[in-house]
Amino acid sequence: MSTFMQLFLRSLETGSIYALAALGIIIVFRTSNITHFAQGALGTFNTFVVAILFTNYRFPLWAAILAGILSAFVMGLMVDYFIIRRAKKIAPIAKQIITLGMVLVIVGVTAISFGLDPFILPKLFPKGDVMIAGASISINGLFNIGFGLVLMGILFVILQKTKWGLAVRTTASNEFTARLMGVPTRNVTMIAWALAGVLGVLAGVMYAPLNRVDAGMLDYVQISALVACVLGGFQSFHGPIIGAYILAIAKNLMSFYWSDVWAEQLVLIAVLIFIIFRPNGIIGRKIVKKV
Amino acid sequence: MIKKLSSYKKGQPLIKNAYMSYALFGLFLALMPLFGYLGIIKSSYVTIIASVIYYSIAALGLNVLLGWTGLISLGTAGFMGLAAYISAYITYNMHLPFEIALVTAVVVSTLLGVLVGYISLRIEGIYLAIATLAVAEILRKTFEVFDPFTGGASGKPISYPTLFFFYKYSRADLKIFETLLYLILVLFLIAVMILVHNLMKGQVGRALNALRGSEAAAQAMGINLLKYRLFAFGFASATASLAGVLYVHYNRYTNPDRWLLALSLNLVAAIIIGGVRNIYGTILGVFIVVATKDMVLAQIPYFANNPNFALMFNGILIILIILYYPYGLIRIGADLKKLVVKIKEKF
Amino acid sequence: MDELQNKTVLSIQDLSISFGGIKAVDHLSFDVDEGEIFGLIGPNGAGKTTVFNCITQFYKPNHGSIRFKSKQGKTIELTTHKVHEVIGYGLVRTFQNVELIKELSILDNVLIGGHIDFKTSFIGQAFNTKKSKAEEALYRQEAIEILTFLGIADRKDWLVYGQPYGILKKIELARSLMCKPKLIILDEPAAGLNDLETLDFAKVIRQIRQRYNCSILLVEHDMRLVMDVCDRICAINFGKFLAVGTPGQIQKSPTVQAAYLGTENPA
Repeated sequence: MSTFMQLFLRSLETGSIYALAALGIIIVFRTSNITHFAQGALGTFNTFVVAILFTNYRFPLWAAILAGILSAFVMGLMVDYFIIRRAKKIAPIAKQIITLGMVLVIVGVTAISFGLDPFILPKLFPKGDVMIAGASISINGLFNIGFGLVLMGILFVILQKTKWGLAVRTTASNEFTARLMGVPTRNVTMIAWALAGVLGVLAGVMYAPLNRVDAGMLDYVQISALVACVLGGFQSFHGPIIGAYILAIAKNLMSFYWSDVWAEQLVLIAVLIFIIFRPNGIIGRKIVKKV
Repeated sequence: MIKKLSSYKKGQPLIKNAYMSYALFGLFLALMPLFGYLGIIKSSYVTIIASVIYYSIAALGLNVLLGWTGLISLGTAGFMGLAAYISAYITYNMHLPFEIALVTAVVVSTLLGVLVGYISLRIEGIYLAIATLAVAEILRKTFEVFDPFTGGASGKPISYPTLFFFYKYSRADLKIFETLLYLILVLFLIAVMILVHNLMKGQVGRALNALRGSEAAAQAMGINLLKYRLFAFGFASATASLAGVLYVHYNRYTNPDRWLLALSLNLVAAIIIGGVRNIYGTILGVFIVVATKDMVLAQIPYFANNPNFALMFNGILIILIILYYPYGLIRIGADLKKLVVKIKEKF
Repeated sequence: MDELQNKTVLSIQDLSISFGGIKAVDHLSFDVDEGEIFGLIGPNGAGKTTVFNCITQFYKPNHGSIRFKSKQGKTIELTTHKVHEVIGYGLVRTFQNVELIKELSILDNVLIGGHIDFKTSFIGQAFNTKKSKAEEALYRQEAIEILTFLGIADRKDWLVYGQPYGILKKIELARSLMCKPKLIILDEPAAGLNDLETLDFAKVIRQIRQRYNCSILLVEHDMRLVMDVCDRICAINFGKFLAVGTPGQIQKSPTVQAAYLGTENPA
């Protein structure tokens, strides 16, 4: 039981990371109707910013992280202002390809500005373990789980209860009508991209101590986040988050009880099989297209 | 008014007969090893041109999917890799002729593609991109860990295959095999160009154009969306597989790092940069993305030390071209000509 | 399923569809006869386009039957068919907001209408066989004939992009004629046209009926066009049936007047 609990807690930690990334993707998707393929690349770039400030410029970790969040926010704004706005009139597929182009640009810029050597980013709480139901988890892990849940909770309260949340939801349901009704859809999409950037760097900073900071660090997180959106369904904000936790749990259980090297592949195959039976995901509903 | 409208007429190609132009282009490519031998071009350029050729084969299929059909696949590298490993296993480990390996690898890898396409295309176009991304990741990881088949992370070196069912490789024939495989590459490229040309100018091409331009109109005109999307993706998978087979036998080596997402993205970049829905545009794009890095940038010391500039340039080019020059660089010649005429008219 | 009787080509019975609790079409029934020009009218939001989308299977109705006498002479229950299968029975439509492929030439756009008639396989086309070439040439000729009939053959090689609205409407019409239809459904064919173009369009609609020996079902806001060109008209409001009859009868119908003008005591 305690092994299971241990695996479960660890899954919650990686699940939180996938969930933050997935939330960024779904917010962009719902407000700009673009699948954000550059979420992982942007997150990686800003995690490098954090690592450089911490390692080379001797910033305290919390200050480096704050700077990283700021840089992610500004980059998100810039992506929307300089690229996405100019792409309003082009075909949806071309917008997707723009985010693919962004991946190449960001990966290139990351390597040019920060070099190819990996960095190490320590945990925010370097020491200490807690016992929960016979399983031990690091304080940092517990913090990550709690932080992820609280942050997402706050975002959901904002989405449901505040005026800005209402603006996001109306933009998500129909941008054109929202604009006619006086919703500042431009600002909404801009903030959505910025928020996605912030969620990306948070995922990166949480993921870095488990691994290291290098160019491909968030590749698997990016894939998991997109697959989580498919699993949970693109039609709600909470579906992808549920999908993210399920993915993390499934992967950890499979790699422990079955096979370490095949778990990743088997989970992805399982999701592909799942969408044969539930094409619109766990929380999905079918959309009637107007002609 | 009429004059202004007529400028929207389709441009006339340089050589009227398209097949003739493909044949001449093929002849030109086929002469490259000779040029290399005679010292007209650096002999290392032949290898670079060979890489332009096999990546062009994959990119042409991808253009059918991306340009004509309006769907994104991020699995091109994965399918290339799968076919490369399968065919390498068949010729090198099972000692069977190249032709058998080619057919088997292309069929298996295409069937996998069609299966993935069928699952994801039933839902929405964009699901194909995510599903292929997932499949590419599955394949990448499998190439790394499935040692007996792929040789794992250290890669799989092979020797030249038996050609035409009888011509076995021996060390003495190294040059001949190298040239033969190069010529096979050229042959396949021209074949794929003609295939794409024929398919896209007729009913199939119109159907793909229609479902990209207006799903509603396409359906009302009797076009089965799933069938045609699946055809386009199957075609893209098949050319990717073909390219993978040719890659591994021309280079006699493969490892998991050759089949990463970056390759798939670079091929998307090639199509956008060169020209969507344009056969020569695709090849121009692949040339820009693949060859300029080695032929031009590598000559400039600063860029030679920072190969990631190429990635960044490709990314910037994608974004700029989509926003401001959507038909790609293949149109530059025609547009410049128009500009010259305009300027002449003014003076 | 009952066979359709002698003259009826399309029979809608008890059709209902609702979106999120709102009934867009509510137990609607009407028949269209062979060779008839039939108008469907109603105030804004009456559900006319929804009816069209139900007939052409873009929407699956919640209830009711839509029977069609196909060009093969059989009675078909359309609701059991997929969107792309409908045209094969000789039922074709145009769209309210012209749905053409801008990057293709006018001729290619018209050829898309002949899609289902092409018999050459993918492989035949890939190798550009004789059969494939012959078929392509045949339908190209046919498309040019249609464009000539509609008076726009001179611009067949131009891109659709940048063409004036009146021409776009004609291209869409030409495309729908490629399949030799038995029933053409026109969704607001005169919307966006000026008076002169509308008059021309009325003439074209009559010519089409004569030349192709087909029925035409149209939704239109321009009352002059409807009254001028239709043999019979069905009026609906809020998805419900109001009246059916000749233009004269509809004009005099008190229920129709009430729906359009509003009365203090709705009938």
